[in-house]
Amino acid sequence: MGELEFRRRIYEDPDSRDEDLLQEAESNESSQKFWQETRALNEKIKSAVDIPVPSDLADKLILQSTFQDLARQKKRSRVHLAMAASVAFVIGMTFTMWSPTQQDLGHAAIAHMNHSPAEFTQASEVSIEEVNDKLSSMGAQLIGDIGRIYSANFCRLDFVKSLHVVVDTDDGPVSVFFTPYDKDSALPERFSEDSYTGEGFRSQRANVMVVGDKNTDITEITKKVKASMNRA
Amino acid sequence: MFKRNKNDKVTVLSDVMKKQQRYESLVRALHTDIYRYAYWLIGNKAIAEDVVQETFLRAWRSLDSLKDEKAAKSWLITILRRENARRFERKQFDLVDIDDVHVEDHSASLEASHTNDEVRKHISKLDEEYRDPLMLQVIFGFTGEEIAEQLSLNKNTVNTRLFRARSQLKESLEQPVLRGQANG
Repeated sequence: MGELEFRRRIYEDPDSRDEDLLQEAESNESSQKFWQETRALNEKIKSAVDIPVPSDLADKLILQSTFQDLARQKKRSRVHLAMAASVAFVIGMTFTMWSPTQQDLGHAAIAHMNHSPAEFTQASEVSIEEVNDKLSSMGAQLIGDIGRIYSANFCRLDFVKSLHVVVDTDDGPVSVFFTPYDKDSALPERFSEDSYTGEGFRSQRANVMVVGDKNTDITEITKKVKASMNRA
Repeated sequence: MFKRNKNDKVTVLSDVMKKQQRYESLVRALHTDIYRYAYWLIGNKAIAEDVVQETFLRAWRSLDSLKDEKAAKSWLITILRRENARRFERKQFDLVDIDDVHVEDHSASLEASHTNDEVRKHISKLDEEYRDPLMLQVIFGFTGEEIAEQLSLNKNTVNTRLFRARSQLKESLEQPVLRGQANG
């Protein structure tokens, strides 16, 4: 091995234990001297490179992993909370969405009667044209006389838009509720509650409920309305 | 679902403890070398510490991907170098000239020759392409092959750079006064 080659390899790695390097150093005094000098230099480099390390660094590094864990657990519990919130939300929504259908239209109509008896007293005659005008918004129509109409006002039976028409009969005023046709909504044929009684039926374009006082015979008027709707 | 969760929790807990133990031994064994390497890569102690923290945080997150403990050194170095590169992408103003850092370090040892500080000054003045393989060899005891692999370089290139790094250091350390006068 030439001296240049030896020096190059010692510079590349002064701590080398390669046999050929050791042999060269043994056989050549200047090579050995060079190696010793270079090792000394290398020790200086090593010593200089070993800068002081912050004493708390290891603890910091370990601690931060613990924080990571805590943060992840927190995240997980946050996810659980979010899931619980979602479930609660869905349940809440389901109840609000279902309640109008769970409570059938007939009972909703009676509830409406209980809460708005004022519509009876503010009675004044309403023309059938006016009623039909309003009914046309649900695509329904009344053909033929159903009696004297006191009032025709839109109201909501729970969440269902409906036209509340008050008709005079021999037994007194009777309410007729027209709601948009819906084959799925609960529409009992007969229903009664407290002081009211009612009948429900589906026409082609509307769900209809006739509600009157418990003492009132509403079969006649119901027939009338049914006939009037069916012809439409 | 809840029943399974309970069982999972036990396994997860012991997994977490195992992971924590593994991580702790990794930190204890390597944080000193990693910090020093970071310092020589970055040239600023505070930033080096930040990058080391970020490095170990990433290591913690992906500890499962480290299959062989023997590969831990080069794995951490790779993460560190990537974190350092990200630092440059993120904030250009974080750039610190290693020479500036050194002026502070140097001031304490103006009269001493070949003290650690003196040698540090000269190491920091090396080109990064020479300093980097030298640090990998001196700090981690990497062989030429290992350095070549770590830096994605040819082994001969690494050897040449190691040679140049040492000869430059030797040269500059032999003429400290001259250089000082020339600079002053």
